[in-house]
Amino acid sequence: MTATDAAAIARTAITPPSRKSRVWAPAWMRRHNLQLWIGAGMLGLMVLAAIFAPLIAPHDPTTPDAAHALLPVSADHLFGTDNLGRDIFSRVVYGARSDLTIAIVAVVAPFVIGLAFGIVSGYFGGWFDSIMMRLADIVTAFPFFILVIALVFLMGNGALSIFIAITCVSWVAYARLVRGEAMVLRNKEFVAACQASGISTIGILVRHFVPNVVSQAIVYAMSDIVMNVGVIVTLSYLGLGITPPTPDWGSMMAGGQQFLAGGFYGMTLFPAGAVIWTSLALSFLGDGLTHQLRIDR
Amino acid sequence: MTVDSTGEPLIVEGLSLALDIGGVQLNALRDVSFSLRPGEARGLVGESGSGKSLTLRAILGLLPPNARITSGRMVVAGQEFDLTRTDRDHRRRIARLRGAQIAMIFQEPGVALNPVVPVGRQIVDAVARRNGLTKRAAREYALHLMELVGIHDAAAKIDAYPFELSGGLKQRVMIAAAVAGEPQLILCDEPTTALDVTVQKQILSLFTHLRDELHASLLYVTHDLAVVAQLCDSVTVLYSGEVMESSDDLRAVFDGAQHPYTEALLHSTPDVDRIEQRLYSIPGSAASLSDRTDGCQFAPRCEYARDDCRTGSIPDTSGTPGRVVRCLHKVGAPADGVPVGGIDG
Repeated sequence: MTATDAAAIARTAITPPSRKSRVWAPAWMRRHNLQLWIGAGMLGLMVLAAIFAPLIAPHDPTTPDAAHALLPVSADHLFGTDNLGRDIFSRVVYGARSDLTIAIVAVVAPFVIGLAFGIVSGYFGGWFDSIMMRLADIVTAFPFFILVIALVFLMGNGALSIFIAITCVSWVAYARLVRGEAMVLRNKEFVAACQASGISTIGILVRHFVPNVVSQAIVYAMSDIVMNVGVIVTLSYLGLGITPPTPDWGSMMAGGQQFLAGGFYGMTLFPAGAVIWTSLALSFLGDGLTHQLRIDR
Repeated sequence: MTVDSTGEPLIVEGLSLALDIGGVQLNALRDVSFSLRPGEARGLVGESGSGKSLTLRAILGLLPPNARITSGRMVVAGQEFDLTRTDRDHRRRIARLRGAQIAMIFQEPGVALNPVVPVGRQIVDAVARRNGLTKRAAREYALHLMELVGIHDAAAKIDAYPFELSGGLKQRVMIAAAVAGEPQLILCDEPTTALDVTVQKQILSLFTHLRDELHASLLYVTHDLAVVAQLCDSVTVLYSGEVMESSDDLRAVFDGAQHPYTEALLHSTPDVDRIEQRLYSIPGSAASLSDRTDGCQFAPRCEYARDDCRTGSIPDTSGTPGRVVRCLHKVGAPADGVPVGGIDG
């Protein structure tokens, strides 16, 4: 196989499944890469809220208080209370804890697995590559959500199941992305130079391939976290994810749905706002990073 | 060629190599032999496609997957290698030579350096791992090497990425990386071809300086005879994968080439003292891999060629130790009558 063949294959293989987010932003924002800083700021606020939830939340997020059910927004209850009298603001803050933790943890495992598989597969090719690509084909043959829901259904509710299900499905995108990069790198002369200077194959892969492919994977990871937040919230909304009474944005929205008709919007609106806030923050951050790392061109 | 001394950093004997191109086995190298004494710089000269780079890669054991060595042995630092072997044990033995006994400097420093790793780390990467250097010691060693190869503000350049350096500096970085393992033998694959002439001159004088400093031998692949004249002690001329002429004494070849190809090569080098209307060029073009014939490979382009040149294999007709001339109809001895090649003994 010639270098141009490999590059052509790599270019087609490099396009990950269309899960990449693109946030519209005005030109002046792009020019100064304000997206990066706004995204980082918005996400930082949410992460701080998650870390310091016990200090920020004015009320206990799980104890019902029937006497104060469905209260409107007030100084004591910033977002009002739900049908069981729990403070919605406290629940949104605690919800950040459960949702963000899984979202971030569930991006690290596929990232690492995909990076390792992609590099090994792209560099060596051969039977390992064939097996990995077939495995990847099988995973991508199913719609993302259907596969995740089916896996969670098999393993039962809970944070661990969501984590495993997301890992099983989303490593493929990283592996494909990195494999394409590794196939291009394999034919670069610096690899021959590394071999000539006596660096072991493992050394070449770890110390010379990883720095070359990691930035693309990081940028992809940013949009992947957005996806993960969506998955967790959706699963919880469907009752397959985090189970009550543990606060979580998805189950809060589901619980508030039946009260919408009665004019009690707070139960649904505020957790939905938190989801939008977080997704927007991550999308801004992802685009900002892409711009910063100059691989957008 | 005589093979008796034990301390020689490199002996290559009878190296033949076939390339599989579309299922057809083509002889890319045929019976290539040469050796290097300690501290010697040998020029390996030839046109594009003459097998210079393949020879270097065969020595390093880094051949493309479609190449197969059909015969040949090699001695590096007293260790003997049967180059036809492809088993794991053999590959490990050759791999252990890389960086420690043999280093290589590539033609294009721009692509032979990893673009996303700082140059300081690339210089000492292999050595630091092998010798278990601490981060601090590795950094200091990198600084030392950078100064050795003439990078003056090494401290400012050590964390730079390759794209931040000029071509000349990048080549110095490559050279620093090559000498990091204190190899006895440095293979140079046209290291100055990609550089402009002033930088080329600096790099060549750096090589001369390093040879004295490190007592390393150089195998210098190039098509530029001027570079060979400036740097090397001895020369081997390759054409279409075969040694045409070889001498342990460079002057003997430059003053009295006996092979018509060498003579033609020398004649087609520009010379300020020789004002001509047009520069001489060898008629025809280098034989492609699939056109290799019986007899002398150069015969189709040679003005001295007769019928006996086109059959069988051409023997060494020099009759002088340390000299190889594979030609049946040698170019005459130099005008002053001094026997060619006899000086070195």
